[in-house]
Amino acid sequence: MKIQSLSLASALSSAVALSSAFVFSSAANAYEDHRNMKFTSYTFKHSTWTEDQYVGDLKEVVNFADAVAHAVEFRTPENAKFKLNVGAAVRSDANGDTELESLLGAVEAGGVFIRMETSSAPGYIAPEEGSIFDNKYVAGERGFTAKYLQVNIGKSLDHWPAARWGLGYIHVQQPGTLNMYTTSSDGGYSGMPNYPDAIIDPEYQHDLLGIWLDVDNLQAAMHDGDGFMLAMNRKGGFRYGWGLTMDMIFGALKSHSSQDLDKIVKDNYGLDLEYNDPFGIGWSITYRLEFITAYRMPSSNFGLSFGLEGRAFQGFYSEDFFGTSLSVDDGSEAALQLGPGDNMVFQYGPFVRLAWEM
Amino acid sequence: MLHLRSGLLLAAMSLSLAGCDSYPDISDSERNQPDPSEASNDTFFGADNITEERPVLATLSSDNTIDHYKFTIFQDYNGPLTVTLSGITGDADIELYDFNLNLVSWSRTADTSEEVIELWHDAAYNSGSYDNGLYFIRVYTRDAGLISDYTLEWDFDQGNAE
Repeated sequence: MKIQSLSLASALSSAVALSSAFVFSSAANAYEDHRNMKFTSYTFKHSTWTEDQYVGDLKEVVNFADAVAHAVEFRTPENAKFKLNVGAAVRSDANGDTELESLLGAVEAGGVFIRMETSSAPGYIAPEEGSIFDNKYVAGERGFTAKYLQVNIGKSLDHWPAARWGLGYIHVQQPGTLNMYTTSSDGGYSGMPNYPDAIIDPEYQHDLLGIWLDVDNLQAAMHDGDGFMLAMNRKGGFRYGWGLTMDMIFGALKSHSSQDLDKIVKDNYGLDLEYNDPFGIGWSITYRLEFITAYRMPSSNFGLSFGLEGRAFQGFYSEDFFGTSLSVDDGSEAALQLGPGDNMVFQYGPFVRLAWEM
Repeated sequence: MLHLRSGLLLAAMSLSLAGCDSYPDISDSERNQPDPSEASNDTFFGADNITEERPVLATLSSDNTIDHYKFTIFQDYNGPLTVTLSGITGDADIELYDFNLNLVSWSRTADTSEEVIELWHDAAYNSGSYDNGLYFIRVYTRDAGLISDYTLEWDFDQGNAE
């Protein structure tokens, strides 16, 4: 009896397995292999460089024109020996100016994936009130170019084609505050330039190098792949649900000024400078929280997603953990230290993305 | 063993963090104050004084492409301030800076035209105790081969002051 039960169970499980295989086979045959398809997408979004999205100690004096961006991306079929991924975004600001905001380029050959994304926007340092800077000195021109460059080198995960990992590098250029320390408590000497509380470098630089991981949920949803925090519902050829697309880098952070700070402090105030380029650990997360709808057809797939996208870049310097070796020993010296809020990028904004594979 | 090592590491980090200071140590001593007397006027720090009554006559040359001057408006009035660079034989320009050394106005006319800066002096703005009414002027040329005499003067029109 026990043997019979086992046999029956085996027979049932075999039948289920066979029917599952048949259903899977039928489903697989119902759609053309997405790896033979070209992928194209269009995204309408808030520009990544606007006043609202700029955070940091200089928020009150950093100005960008409000803008929207139109981004287009194209990917060659995944089955191609040489895979190409190109994209560009055009920025239209509130002043009516249109300019190229970002460029995206990626190639994949021999299983190795190389991707580069760059964006930039013009900005302007303006005083808080009228034309007056309150104890801040702006080094160089007040007009500046904010820049973001990301380079990734890696490969797709074997069992998770929508995900990739490898090495990531980010270069950020944006205004930074360098707090100034001197022994003179009242800010200087008679007939001499005032010692500012801070020197503003409009184009302070940050470099992050580390481990990189990313996943594209919309493309995963369009061909029933596995995404990252992707919960899709299926109704016939229709797919819908929430997903969180992420691009993460964690690694070493090094920052430095675009200005000759020693010369500035000596020429302006006659002081000898103590300053060390800060370094530490940093991370970057580019996220896209989106509601995804996708429709699968036998020889093409369509996707539409909308939600909130943004980027968080942040770090901690060794001085925050282990203290600083800087000291101001007498009236002939000054020390500069990067403001704690100025090694961060927080960009966010709504977007709508339309994609198709065929 | 792993827990013990982790605990020791955390304890060491805690001790390290407890004893550190993220900000520079500042001495109470103001000795060795910077002394501008031996500096040239190639920098703000070595800027030469210029009075309203006596214009400056000087020269830009290939080894001296930049000069700095400073002046002070002592009156506690608002009023129009004019800075003029004249008598130049090449393309020289002027910039006006406040007591924080931030650029407040400039004249960068091409060729040998007279350079003139006009702005409204607000006495309340520059109201620091030691640098009240202090301005800096930068005279410079981007033409490294230029040799030119120049006359620099400034005028504060107290007659129209409010």
